[in-house]
Order: sequence, then structure tokens, then C-alpha cells
Amino acid sequence: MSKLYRWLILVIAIACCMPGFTQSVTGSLSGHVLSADGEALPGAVVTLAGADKNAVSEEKGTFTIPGVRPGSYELRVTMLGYKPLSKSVSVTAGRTTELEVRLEPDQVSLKEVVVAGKNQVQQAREQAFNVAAIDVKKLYNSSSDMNQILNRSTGIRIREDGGLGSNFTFSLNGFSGKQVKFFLDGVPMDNFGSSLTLNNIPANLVERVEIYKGVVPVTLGSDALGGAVNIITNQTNRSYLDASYTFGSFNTHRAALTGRYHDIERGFLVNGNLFHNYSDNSYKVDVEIPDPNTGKVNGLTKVRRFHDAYRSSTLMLEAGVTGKKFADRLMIGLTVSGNRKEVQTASIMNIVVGQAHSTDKTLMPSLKYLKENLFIKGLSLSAQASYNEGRVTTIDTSSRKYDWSGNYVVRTDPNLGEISGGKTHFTYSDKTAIGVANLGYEAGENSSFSFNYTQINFRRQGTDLYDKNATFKQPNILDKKVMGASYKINLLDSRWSTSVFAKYFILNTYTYNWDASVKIAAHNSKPGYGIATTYHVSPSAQLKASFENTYRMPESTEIVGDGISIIRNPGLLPEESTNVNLGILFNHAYGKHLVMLEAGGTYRNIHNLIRQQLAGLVTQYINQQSAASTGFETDLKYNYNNFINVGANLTYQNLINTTKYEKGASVVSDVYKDRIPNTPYLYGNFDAGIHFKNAGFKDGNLTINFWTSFVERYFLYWPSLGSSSTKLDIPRQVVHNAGITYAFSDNRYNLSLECRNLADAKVYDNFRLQKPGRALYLKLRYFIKS
Amino acid sequence: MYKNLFNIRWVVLLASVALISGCKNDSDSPDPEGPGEKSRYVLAIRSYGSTNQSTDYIVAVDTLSQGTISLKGKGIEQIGYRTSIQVGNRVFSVGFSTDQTCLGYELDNSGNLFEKGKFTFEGQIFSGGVINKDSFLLMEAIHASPNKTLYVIDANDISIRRKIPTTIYQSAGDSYNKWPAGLFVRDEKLFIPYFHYDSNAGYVNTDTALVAVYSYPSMQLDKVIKDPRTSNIGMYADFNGLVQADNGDYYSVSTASIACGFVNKSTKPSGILRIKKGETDFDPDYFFNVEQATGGGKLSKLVYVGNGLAVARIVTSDAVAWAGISISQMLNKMYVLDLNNRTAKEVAGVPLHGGQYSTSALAENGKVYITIYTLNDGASVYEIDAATATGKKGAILESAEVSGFFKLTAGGS
Repeated sequence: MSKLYRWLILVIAIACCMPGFTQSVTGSLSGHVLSADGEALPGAVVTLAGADKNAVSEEKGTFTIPGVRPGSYELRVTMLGYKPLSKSVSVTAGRTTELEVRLEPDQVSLKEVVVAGKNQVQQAREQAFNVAAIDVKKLYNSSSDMNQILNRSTGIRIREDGGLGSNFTFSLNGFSGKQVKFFLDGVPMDNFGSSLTLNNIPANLVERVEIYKGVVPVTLGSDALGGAVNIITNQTNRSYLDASYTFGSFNTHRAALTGRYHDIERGFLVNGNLFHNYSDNSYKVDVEIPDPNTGKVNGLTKVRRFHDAYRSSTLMLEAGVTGKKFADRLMIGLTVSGNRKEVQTASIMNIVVGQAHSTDKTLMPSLKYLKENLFIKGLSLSAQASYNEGRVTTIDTSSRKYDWSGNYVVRTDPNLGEISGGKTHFTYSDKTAIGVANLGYEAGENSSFSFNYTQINFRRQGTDLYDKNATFKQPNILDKKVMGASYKINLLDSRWSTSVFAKYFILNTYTYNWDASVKIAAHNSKPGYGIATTYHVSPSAQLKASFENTYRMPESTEIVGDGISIIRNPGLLPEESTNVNLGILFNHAYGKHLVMLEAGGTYRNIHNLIRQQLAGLVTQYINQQSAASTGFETDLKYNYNNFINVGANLTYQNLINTTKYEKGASVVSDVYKDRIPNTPYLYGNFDAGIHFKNAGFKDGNLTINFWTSFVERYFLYWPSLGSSSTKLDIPRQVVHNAGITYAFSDNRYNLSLECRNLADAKVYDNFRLQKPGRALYLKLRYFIKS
Repeated sequence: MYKNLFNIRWVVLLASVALISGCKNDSDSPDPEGPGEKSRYVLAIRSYGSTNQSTDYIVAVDTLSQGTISLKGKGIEQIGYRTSIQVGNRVFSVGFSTDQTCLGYELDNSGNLFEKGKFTFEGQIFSGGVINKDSFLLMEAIHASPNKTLYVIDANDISIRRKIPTTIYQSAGDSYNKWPAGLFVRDEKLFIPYFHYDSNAGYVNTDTALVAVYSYPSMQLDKVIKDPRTSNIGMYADFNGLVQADNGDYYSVSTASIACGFVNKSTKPSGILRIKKGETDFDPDYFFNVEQATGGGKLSKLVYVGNGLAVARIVTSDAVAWAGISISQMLNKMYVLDLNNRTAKEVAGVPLHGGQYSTSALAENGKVYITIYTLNDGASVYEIDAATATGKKGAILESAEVSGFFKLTAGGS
């Protein structure tokens, strides 16, 4: 850690030295977009004609256009529901021209005046894809991590093994694990290491999250099957510093420092993110403690988890230039992260572990390039490259046999470890090179082309001091290429927008058999294609439909395993899916009452479904022959004058086994059309909040929130089999949470207190692993911006 | 005319009664009978599920000869793979790895299954054996270590009475892990047939039949008896290496088979040796060359029926490793073996069928009940008459195999 702090000091020092760094030859433009009666308008498009530059106004109606060569320009401001405005402005070298723009409502083209402008979150939602967008900025004062935030959205279930840092599976409309792909600002987060996952990333790093359900746009070059999650970090042009510290139950500490220094005039940008997570995860669980001699069990005992601590630290640094002739943005970056995770139980809670643990270290340099109007007007190129070196060590060398009281006996057998039978001290190193290029071309106002090429080369090699996991003695290599092209056209005055696209996936794998004596090479290539279309029935109502036929290539861990808890399966085949999505989006303001309704239906048909199954104490990824899912989800939000907000969502997905015959048999399987086990199928969330302005201090803001999550009972094994009273299940779960936040001095100082699982409900997941009960967290946050 | 109508009414009424009672028989509840005398079959069933996602259940049924045994809404769900064993009037369901718990079940007065008690152990149970109606043995084994634990279980209290560390047999300089093929107690002796496991080469030294003989309950090793006439005894995940005849004689099962998992092919024929009642050595005058008697078949399962007759599952091809226990390889036939005359006769009416891990069968009144699976027909219980060497299809198993056949009397122990 001390190393990381030293880095931080360096970042701050660099940031402080930046002014006066280069000689400026450009000027910039900044201002406010307001409505006629003075309300800030976020989401207005500000274009500087003649300079090919534009900006979108932010939360308080502010915008900035940096790097403008001196001269006179025509400034155009447009926004749905308002009359377009043109104005001439002049820009001087080394100066920022300030101006204020007031837009008149457009009563003619719209029957009703749209009060609120569209921010990027709304714009994202209005794409033709089945997409949900979460505005994370509103949650900066919450002590929740990204997992907990996403878990409140429709269609999403995060399956967690336990507390902070525990293993989790992200599930989207019944798809889970690797079927859903994650991106950080458009870069695939493949093999980013276990410290850069959704349960490590603090909310303060993120501006918004776009969740593509089913069809994934070509620009996110990926072979996702169930959808994709694109995490978009803070996009503001301004310099800012956001520091927060959370502490709470189970000795949990989370610190995050994110900042940006942007010298717009000189075109210099530095981003720094540092975050640290720690928890003992010493929450209480209800367990059976057998008599050490007779093995008899007398009911449940409440005990504290004693070997479940998790620690992770991440530093992300990025520096580069903006607004240059050769690049709108060119950044080089470095990410350093590491974690240490203790293991408390095997995949079920009966097996108690007291010493085994794992560590993960990742070093990742990266390069990002963005240029619009490259060579010709309308042509844009964005390219990203990263190289990632990770080192994961799993240590299970203890001869101790623990019980839930924390007592242990030392086993005389020198061969035995705690989790998987024999002892293991296994280290593997992953080397991943990721390259992404997106080329876009705007052919006129209403049609555009986009092309994507993504390549991911992965290599895993490792050794075990106890000579297990011999398969990794030789490097296991996966090389994946994804190519995509799409064409988008807007018709009927942009009310109707349609994208058609095609993708091509190639995967070459080179793996080894169990003792690394035989090399196994495999090649798979598959095409994918689809269409997404949307029609704006009115300014407040929109219809969507999309279809895609696609494949997902098996991933590293699925094929080669992790050498300890996941067994390899080199014979895994790509998963194929056809997905159809229908949706409506309604967003309307009735005076001060704002109503948003999203509803959608989904259909998925999957062949060679890759699923993780329990195989003894460990798991293995296997191909399920076929499965189909029909689902429905709805999300309703209501806001009164930014004073009261209420929302509720519900997701139903029926993922059924459509494998009619098993293993060449001609007798119909008795679990044909049965629901796939151990998958939640009905769940929802409710939230309500009240917001007081000018409470306490003059500009103090007090917010009180309450939210509830609900998951219907589901079965661990095939639902139709066995008598219902004896079936192993995860019972219905209802968890209430509440939080109170006070912000003052222009939101510079923020204090928030959160209580999760208010009623101390017993909550389980996966194979009945118990999750934390009631927990309290206090978050202190300091925020300044230029 | 009037009389006819009357008759028709009776016919309808009788038909309805038959229909209703027929429905009743299909349900999980037993026929209403007095306690004590009522017996039911208790089955440990492994549902095939889909793509290896199998689940184990314990279910009670009234017949094995007809109808359908379905798990739809029936059966007590078990965690993970199980092995099962009947001791006295109870069936014990032993967790294999996911769940390190042993559950004891019995039938209540009305013949319904219920959980009587449970205890937990520490590792993977790979062998078991009945001592008497009050106690039984379980043995924990692990590939990573030669060290094992023998548990003596109190079947009445459903708890561990004794834990005995053992390696089965380890001579100086011997690095092989000894894998148990069953635990058999007779006349204060514990017989443990075993085979050799090497962490690199797998199951090795397959050319000798081996049994460790212990004094029981003192657990003093008396000796290891070896016989070069056939291969090692037993197979992986099965604890029926020895079979006891009505007169108390033990007969051993040597597969000498690649298809049964012994990839280091034995040069010896598959066959049966005998340890006579009262003896602790192989009978030098007895060897039943089953491979010869069946025209090249390999013995994978032996069930003693009575009067010197046994029913055997024979693997007909030894070309592919583990194929003999693979459900989708139709390689198995059933034979009646005359242990006294050392002759074999193929059972008529049983098709070539797939294999099964730790095959279970029940011998009752000269008949053997066993799961037979074919790709065309799915799984069924077959009833094999040993005297006539004929088999007939009994109850249909819906996408499941029976991993434990037992019979319990209602009303507990």
C-alpha cells in the first residue's frame, strides 16, 4: 500500500505543476445553456460551425469547447423541445470566451413543452438497442459499489458468495458469467484481474453504466451472448477532485480518490484514480457444528466468519493531450492493482477453511486514441490498446482442519490441504493483449457506418509447488478476433432509426491435456448478424425492436480452468444464441410530475449453452445442449419536483431446458422443458427517496432513501423433481435498506449513513452460501471541481 | 333389460373404483395397511438431469415389476452425489463429496420415508460395509494421500462410534495408494479387497488379487492375501469387491478390464476367487474363469441370488477405457453364473445396455432387480429370474437409474 500512496503523491504533484506547461495557440469557449426562464438545460448540443467542434451541456447547463483556433465562428445550440439558436462568437488565443445562451421553447413542433433536456443517460436509453442506462452520478454519496448499484436494475442479478470481494456472478436476463461482457469506456475488461471488478470499483469512478440486453452494438467489439455492460467513467471536461472514505460493519474500509486535471487551453489532461477496499467480512452465519467425535449435529449455531478478509488496491493513471490537430484525445495510462483474499468455505458452507487464500496482482499499461473528422469530414477513429500482466497465486497448504468455532486440529497427513483434498500452492501468470479499433463514418446527417476490430490474445502459464495442475506447465493460449460492421439510418425526421450489423468471431486455442504432454489445438469461427430499430411515436414515447443471431466463444477460465476450484474443459464449444427484444420507453413530464416507464419482452434461444456446474468440491464449465428463455421486465419511475422520487421494477425470466434427448437417447428427457436450476427467475426492486433543499446550512441538501430488493424462491436442482417439501432451495429473499445523505457547501462536503439489510434477514445465494445480515456504513466525501 | 342396466351400473362403479385406486397406487403414499408387516422398496435414484447435472433422490415404491417410477414431485432430494447402504431396517444416504453428511432414513407406520438422523464426517467416503444390524463401516479415501480413515458407525444412534486411521496396507518402500473395494466383516475378521493407485500412472499392478485381512474390532492387520490367477479385485466407486453366499463363503469380483477403469491392462482373465467360510485365505482349488465362460466378457458386477447362483453384469468389449460404466455405450449383457459348477448362461430378454457407476441390484426370492439402460428405450428396472436365466422389463425409470435397491419394513427399526 505504501507504494500506492507514494504514487498518489506523485500524481498530485504532477497535477499541481501542470499550469504554464506549454505555450497556448488556441482559445476556448465556455458557457451556460438556460431556458427562457433561467433554468439550466443539460443535454443541449452546442456546435461551433466552421471549427467542427461540439459539446453537450452538462448537469447545470454548462459546456466547454476547448482547443479552438482564434477567429469568428457561428455557434449553434439545439435541443429537443426548444427552438434552435444561432449566434456569432469570436475566440481569442489563450482566452476563454464566456457566454450565456437562452433557448425559447418550441411550441410549434411539439404539442407539449419538454421541460427537461436529455442528458447522456437518457440518450443512451433511447438507442434502438434494448439498453438500460444507470446514472451513477446520483449515487456518488452512496457507500454501495457498482455491483450493489447494478443489482437494483431490471434484468440484473448479481450472485454473490458473501461479503466484500467475494466471488460473484453477474446475471442478465438469465444469462450469466462470461455470457455478459464488461467494458470500461469501451475497452473489453477481459482478464483485468480480480481487483478491477464490479465489486471493487467505487461508484465515484463512474459516470454512468449502459447495459445492453441481448443485442450488443458493433462498437463494443465482442462476442457477448446475453448482453454487455459498458462502464463509462467520468466524462466531464473539467478538472475535479473527489475523495471519499467509507467505514462500517465487519471492519470494512473503502477509500477512493479520483481526480482530473484538464488544462483545456493547452490541451493537457491527467486522470488519476486510486481506490482501496478492505473488509474482515466477519459477519455472522448460521451453521451446523458437528460434535467432533460423533459427527452429530444439534441444530444451527450463530458464528462469526473468521477467515474471510479481503483487501484490494488499485491505481489508475492516465495522461495525454486533448484538442490537438492529430488527435482529439491521445492518452497513455497505467493501471496497477492487487488483492488478497482469504477463503472461508468451500463451495458449500459445511467445509470450513481457516488458512487458504489467494493473491492477484495486475499491471496494465494502455494507450487510447480518438480523432474525429480524420482526413475527411465525418470520419472518426478511436483505438485502444492494452497489455495486461496478471499473477494469481492460490495457496492451500495448511494441514489444519478448522471448525466453525475457529478451532482446529492439525492433521498428521502431510498431503492434505483444506479445500480440494491435496495441498496446492499454485501460481499462474496471465498475459493478455487487447486491441480495439472503431472506425465511424457519418455519411450525411441521417446515415452512418461503423466498423470494429477487436483482438484479444491470452496466455496462461503456471506452476504448482505440489506438482498439481500440471496442465499449466505449458502455456495455454487463446486468441480471439472479433470483426463487426454496422450501418445506421435515420428516417422520418429522425423519428425512425435503424441499425443493421454483421459480426465475425474467430477463436484459436492451444491448450494441454492434464499432464501437459499432449497439445490440443482448436479453431472456431462463427458469424453473427442482427438488426435494431426504434420509432419515436411522440416526443415522450418510443418503441424498440431488435434481433440478433450470435455466438460466444468460450473464455480462458472456462476452457483451462483456474487450476484449483474450476476444472478445465478444452472441449467446450461456442454458445449460439438468437435473441429478440421488444420494448417501449415512455418519459413524460406533467407539470412538476415526471414519469418514466420502460417495459420490454425478451426471447433467447441458446444452443451449446455454457454453464458452470458443481462437480464435487469444485466446478466445471460444460455445454448444456440447448435452452430457451422468455422474459418480461418493467421499470417505473416517478419524480415530483426533485423532491420525492419513487421507483419499482420487476423482472421475470423463464429459462428452460430445451434439450429433448440426452446423450444420443431416443427417450425424451424428464427434465425437458424444466426450468434451468439454480437461477433466479422472478425478482424486483423498489426504491423511494425524499430530498430537502436548503436544509440546515443555507445550501445544504438532505436526502433520505429507502430501497428494497426481492428475489422469489428458486431451486438448486431441477424444479420438477423431488417432493416439494424436501427440495433444496434458496428461499424467497426480501432485503430492505435505508440511507441518509447530507451535502453542503455546493455539494463539496458530503456525509452519508447507510444501513443494509435493515431487518437482518437471512440472505443466501449460490449453493446456500449465507450473505451478510444487517450492516451499517458511513461515508465521508469531499468534492471540488473547477 | 332392467337387470342389464343394473349390471352396467355396477361395471361403471367398479371401473371407477379401480381407476381411483389405480391413481392412488401411482402416488407416493403406500397402500393403507397395518404397521409392522408392510414392506416397501426404498430406492436411491440418480436422475440423469441434463448434461451431467444429475441429482440423487431417496424414494419409496411398492413395486419394481410394473408401472413407472417417476421423480416428478416425488423423492427426498439429496445434496450432491451419494452412495447408499442398508443397515438393519434403515437406509443410509452417504454424501460423496459436496455434502459430507450421512443421513439415516426409515419408513414410518404408514410406510412413508422420513429422516431419522444424521451425522457428518470429514472427507470423501469411498467404501462401506455392514457389520450387523446395529453398526456399519465407512471408509474415507483420497487420491492425494495414502492415509485413510475407517469409521465405525452406530446405526441406531446414527453417529460415529470410532475413527480408525489406516493405510489398508503399506509395506516399506511401497509408494502406492491402496484403494478400497469394499469392507466385509465375518467372524471377527475384516476383509478389505484393494487395488493400487499411483498419482501419475493411475490404477496399476493389476495382475494380482489382493485382500487385506484384519482382526476386528481390534483392527490388527493379520495379513494380506494375494492370488495371481486373476486381476485385482473391485473397481473404482464401487464397494462390492466381495459377495457373500448363503453358506457364508466369499466370492470375489476381478474385472481385469480397461472398460472398467483399469487402463493398465491386466494380463490375467476376469474371474472369481473364493474365501471359504471360516478361512482367511483364497481357496486354492477354486477359480471361476468368467472371461472364458462368457466367451471373452469381463465381470463388472456380481449379485448373489441363492443356491450357488449369481447374476452378473458382463462387459462385452474391452477396447475403450471406462466404456463399461458409460451409460451411452451399449456394451453390457447380463449372465447367470453357476458358482459351484463354474458355468455361465446369458440372460434371455435383456438387451445390450449401457453401464453405471457403482451398479446396485437387489436379490429377492430368486430374482434380481437391476437398472437396464438402452438408448432406444431409456432406463427400466429389469427382473431377472436366475433359475431360468430370463429377464423381463419391470418398472420404467423416468430418466434415472437406481443407485441403491433396498427393502424396508414400515414402522422403523
